[in-house]
Amino acid sequence: MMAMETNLSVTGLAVRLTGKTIVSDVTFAAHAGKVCTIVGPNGSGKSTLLKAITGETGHDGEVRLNARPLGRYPPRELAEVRAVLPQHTQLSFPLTVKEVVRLGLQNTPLPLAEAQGRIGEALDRVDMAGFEGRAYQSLSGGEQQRVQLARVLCQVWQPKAGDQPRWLILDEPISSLDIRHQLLIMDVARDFADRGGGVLCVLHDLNLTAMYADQVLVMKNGRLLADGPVADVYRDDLISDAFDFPLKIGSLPVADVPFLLPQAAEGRLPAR
Amino acid sequence: MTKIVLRPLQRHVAAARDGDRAPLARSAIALLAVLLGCAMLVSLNSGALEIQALKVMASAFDPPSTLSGEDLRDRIVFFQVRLPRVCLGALVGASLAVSGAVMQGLFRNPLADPGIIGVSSGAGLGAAGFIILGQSWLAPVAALLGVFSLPVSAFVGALLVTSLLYRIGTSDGLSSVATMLLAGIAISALAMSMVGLLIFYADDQQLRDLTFWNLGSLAGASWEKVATCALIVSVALVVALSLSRGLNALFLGEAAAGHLGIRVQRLKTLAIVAVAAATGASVAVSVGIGFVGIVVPHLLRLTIGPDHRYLLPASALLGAVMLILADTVSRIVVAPAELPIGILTALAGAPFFLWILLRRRGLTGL
Repeated sequence: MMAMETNLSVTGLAVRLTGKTIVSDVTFAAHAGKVCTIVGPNGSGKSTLLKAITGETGHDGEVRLNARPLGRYPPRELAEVRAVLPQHTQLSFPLTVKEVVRLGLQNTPLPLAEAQGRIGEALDRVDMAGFEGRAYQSLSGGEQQRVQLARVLCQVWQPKAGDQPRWLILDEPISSLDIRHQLLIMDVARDFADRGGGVLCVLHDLNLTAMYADQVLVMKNGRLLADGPVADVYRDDLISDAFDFPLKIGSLPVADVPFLLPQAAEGRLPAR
Repeated sequence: MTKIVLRPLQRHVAAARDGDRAPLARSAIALLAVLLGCAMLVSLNSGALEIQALKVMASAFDPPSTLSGEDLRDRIVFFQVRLPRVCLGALVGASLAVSGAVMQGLFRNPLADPGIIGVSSGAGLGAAGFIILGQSWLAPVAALLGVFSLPVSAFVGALLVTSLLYRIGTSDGLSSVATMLLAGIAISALAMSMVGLLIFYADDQQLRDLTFWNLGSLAGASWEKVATCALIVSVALVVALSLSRGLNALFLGEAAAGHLGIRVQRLKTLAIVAVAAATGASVAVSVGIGFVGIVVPHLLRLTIGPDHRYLLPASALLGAVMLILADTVSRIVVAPAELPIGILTALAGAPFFLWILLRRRGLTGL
């Protein structure tokens, strides 16, 4: 019990907006070195939960990051410990790709050459190398999302600061990406966790969750329906209940990775 | 010459093509500083009386007894009329342009400008209120603040309007152009009608004072005005410059700026106070100089990009240059009479504003 607490813990979290309860009674802990994903149907409160965890939305209950309550972090220090990738980012003025990514380095005074190098490397990791001079507004939705991820990566470049893990909080980071870039971006998140950082991520894709998540949180109607490793959570009854839809989970024969195919759902198979 | 100027410039343009406009912005600021010097010199040299500015400056420290009558006259015109006027022009131009740039960054909207959305009207109401009530209700203010009473009253008016506008015109930190402009129209109308009420209550002397202030061009410049204005404007400029990192983070929206470690609420409060102070100071000197706050930052963003670390100082310099030049033209075109400078800035600025509006409509459907 005396071990240094390096997790993101949420206790009794509830969010009420204009008298309506959006999220209630959510308690869990995500751990550094792991990828934790939040899944659930539309309107189940995933994004609201994430907004409460990042401090964007007022809430009841407590959120602790590396054992310290969120409210006790000065804003600047919090920004050095965790970075947040929003679902959509609308720029107010025309910036170049490089200028957008550089915003992630605001809190890190670096010599010019090193800053340039880091920006280049971050863009390389999200497969946007060579786009530095492009106008951000001229990019496609998926490209913009990757540029934003590069910015967020610059903000928490090293996954650990001393023995303190840093955190990546991602709200649907792959929602507008093609399949190659979906895998690529999840690889980036996986790598961040493997090097000691923590990743908390809202995902819609249950197959990618099965591939990448160490811990899965299933939300339904603003409550936490399940919390555990993929093997425990991916059960026909549980997933079908979560999405109110009869779903069947298969398993790849070569490696024991569960998968879901919409075609395999009950009543969707062509009659033989 | 090519080595000193052209080579670095080529390098900076190449860097800008690679997405890094910072070196280009820095050389633009240096260039603008030189331009400001030139504009001041041109302005000091022009006017109803032919004065050789350089000659007067060269003999500035000669004792008066050694000067001819003409030289003495030139010296007085130069130091008591032209120089304070040019300095005041520079201050007003810088504060209008920086107010515009800060406001646009805060509202996340390139069309926000103190003149257009009613902040200047609020400042005008504050100033008119002091001119008319300064000897009765506001006498304690006058006693307390002395020469600062007029700009401070204008500042209070501007502050009220800006905070009101921010509350009405934005939700979740996003401002819609339509709401903002419409709220600005309503608030301007309200301020105007209150000025009307004040005029109704004013006596003859106060009416004269108000009329003169309303006509106000830079012609009434005095060293006292320059000093008061300089004090307020420099504080506002320093505050604005200190906000540039936060305003940059605001490009991404309020929530994202918060995640980058910016204290967003504090940023907004300080930005509103700085804008109100700068607008108040310039309106107290001279009402009705519009569009500087739109045109200057917009032109600069097109060339050096929107990074506030460079945009704000560059706006201050270009605003000063533009206003000094406009003032010079207004003195020359109908000499020996003077054209109100507000006519000139509106003639150039209003079509420019429409052009931005049209371009945006094409892009976003407004």
